[in-house]
Amino acid sequence: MTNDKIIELKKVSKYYDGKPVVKNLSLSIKKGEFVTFLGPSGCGKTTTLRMIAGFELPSEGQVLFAGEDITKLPPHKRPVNTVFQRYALFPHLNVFNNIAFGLKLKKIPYTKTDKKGITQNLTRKYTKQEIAEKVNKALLLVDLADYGHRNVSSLSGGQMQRVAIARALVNEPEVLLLDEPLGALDLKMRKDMQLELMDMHKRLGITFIYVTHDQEEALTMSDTIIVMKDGVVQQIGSPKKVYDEPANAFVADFIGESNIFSGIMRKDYLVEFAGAKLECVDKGFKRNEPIDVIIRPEDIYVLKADNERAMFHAEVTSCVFKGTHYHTTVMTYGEERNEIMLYDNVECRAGEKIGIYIAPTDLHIMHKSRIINEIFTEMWDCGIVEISGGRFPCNSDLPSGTSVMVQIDFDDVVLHDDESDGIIGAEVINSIYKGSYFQCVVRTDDYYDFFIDTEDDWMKGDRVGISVKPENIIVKQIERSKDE
Amino acid sequence: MNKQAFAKLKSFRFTRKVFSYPYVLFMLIFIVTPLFLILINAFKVNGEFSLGNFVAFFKDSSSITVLERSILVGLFTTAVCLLIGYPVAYFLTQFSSSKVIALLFIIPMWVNFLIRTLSTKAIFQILDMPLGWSAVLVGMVYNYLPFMILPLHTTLSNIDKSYIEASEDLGANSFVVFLKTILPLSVPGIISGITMVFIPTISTFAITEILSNRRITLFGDTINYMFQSSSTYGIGSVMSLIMLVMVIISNTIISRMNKNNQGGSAVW
Repeated sequence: MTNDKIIELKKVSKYYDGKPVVKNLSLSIKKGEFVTFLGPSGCGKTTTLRMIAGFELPSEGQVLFAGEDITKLPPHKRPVNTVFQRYALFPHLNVFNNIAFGLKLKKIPYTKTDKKGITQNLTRKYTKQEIAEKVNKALLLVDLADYGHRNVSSLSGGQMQRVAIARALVNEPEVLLLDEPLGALDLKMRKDMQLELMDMHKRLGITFIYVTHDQEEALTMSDTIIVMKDGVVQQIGSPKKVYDEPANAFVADFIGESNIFSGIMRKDYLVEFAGAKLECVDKGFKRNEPIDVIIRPEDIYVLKADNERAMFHAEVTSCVFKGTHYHTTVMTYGEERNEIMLYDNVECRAGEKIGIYIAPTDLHIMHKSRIINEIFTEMWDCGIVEISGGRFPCNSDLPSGTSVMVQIDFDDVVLHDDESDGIIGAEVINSIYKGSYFQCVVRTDDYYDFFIDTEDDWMKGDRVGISVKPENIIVKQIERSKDE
Repeated sequence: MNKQAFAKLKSFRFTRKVFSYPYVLFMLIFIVTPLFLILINAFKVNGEFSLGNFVAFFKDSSSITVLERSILVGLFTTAVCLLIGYPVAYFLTQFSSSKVIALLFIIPMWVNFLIRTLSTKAIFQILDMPLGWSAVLVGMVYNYLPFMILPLHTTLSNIDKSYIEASEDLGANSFVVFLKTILPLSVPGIISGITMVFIPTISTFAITEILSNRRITLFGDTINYMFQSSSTYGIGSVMSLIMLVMVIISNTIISRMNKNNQGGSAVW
């Protein structure tokens, strides 16, 4: 029992037609853990699960099971079982036979000693009685004791889900893989099943690997959450850690509600954002480094407008009662107007002037993933630079073919509703509200991600056009040395 | 009176039912009426009601032999079509270019079957192979194979991949996946394939005639022959009725099988 890592991924990558879905993923999962892969659709979480199950071969890297390389092992030889997203119950078999499917195929080893005292290692199949016993036990486990003879198509969604779980668990896998198993259930049923799954995990003591895009589900059920985005792990940690100390703006935005502001770290323990300089508990940033500040809405307190502890003064735009607290949106005064979202149990009226207090420990400060768009490319011609296959006019007279680095500020990139109005087309990947503007990420057709600060909220998944004014393109010649 | 008619006209609505009227009319003229004519012909000898035609048919041992032979040929053709068609349909679903290949099997169906059969004969003659039973069976299989492949291909390619993955996940190797998952899930396709091949083959004509130089006749050919002279119309009609009954029987059996399958247990 020295090695308690049951599943390990080592530098795993997966490409579909040259397009990366999972990039250089390394992680390990402990025995008996409830691990959740969390991320928006298309982040590679399901692909990762399928590589563990054996349905997909990694393009690069290794999958280890209890220290043993299983990268190329076909699914039927792996000691894992899967609960599929749409259950995948066999329609030609009844509930009993669906659950017995795996047992009927299983070969169990046993030893036989003959008269001469020679012991042989043999394998046999389960007897009918053994199968019936195990299936009935599994049915009992999922609360479907009398449903064995039922036709699969006569079951409700929740019942099918239970059968799918029983069908996987009856094989006594060491790892149970669950691919968004509750996605097709209604809210109430989902909550019940969440608790039941947690209970089963506790009772059985086996490893659960769970995939979901529902952050609440992940926070409720998991021991460990692995947050993924674009095939890259953003953060691995306990639900509390991921929620309280998000590793970056994406995690903060994806898990729970948050206020995200762009700010500057003036010096250790002093941050400036939204027009105010505040004390904080972070250090070790560069002086005047641009950073992101993340504040959870429940960490913001409402004060009277004349309270001197107030850090911001603001006007209430809306206040909605949500049962345990009020969802309040306010707009700060001053040169910079910022929207702040807060949950407090103080009722406010729209238009009311209030003060706002935030404790220094609740200011989460993180490095910006990027402060300027940088693209390495070549000059197309004098005064024209090529970016992602498009020809952008610029104020540079370097000759055609020169290798250059192009820099474009976040707020100098112009997005167009109509793809054909821009010089190149791109797809909106992400849009995060930062108090007074949105930070968008758009991906060009050759997979370059542009970061853009814009007033408008762009829909994720929309196609947009990109253009940049010639004077806003900064072109720097770079030395070609190594590759020539 | 006029007012009533007007009210009736006003209450007339284009419900879905209305659109079926042309089809109902078509059925009446081209399906129900000929069936009645056959029925009348079968029971008519020299302008009088009689069972003579039936007696004449069942007394003639050669016509019973032809019937038996037709059923055997039908069974054989269906079995061979299934044996060839299933693997073909299965492998078609495994390739991404399967649509193109499937098209290659469909294109011959666009050509009239007489022309197809005549060219089969030509091929046999070029290869200097004798016309006869083997040629007839080859011609039958060749003609009806697409009708087996198409429903099978549709069913097989509509099987959700997650069933196959679930099967693998539960410990089935690729052979067991096929035997325990793909095969039972494709039963509806097998059944409609059998329906599409068996029923037309037992009533087929011309193929035998052309590919055996008129040495072999099947039930369909005999019916065709009977209707060529007006004196044997009656017997031809009796044979058509027998054919019809056989089609109804085989259809009932097949649909029973299909129903059983939906009940959850596999036929095979």
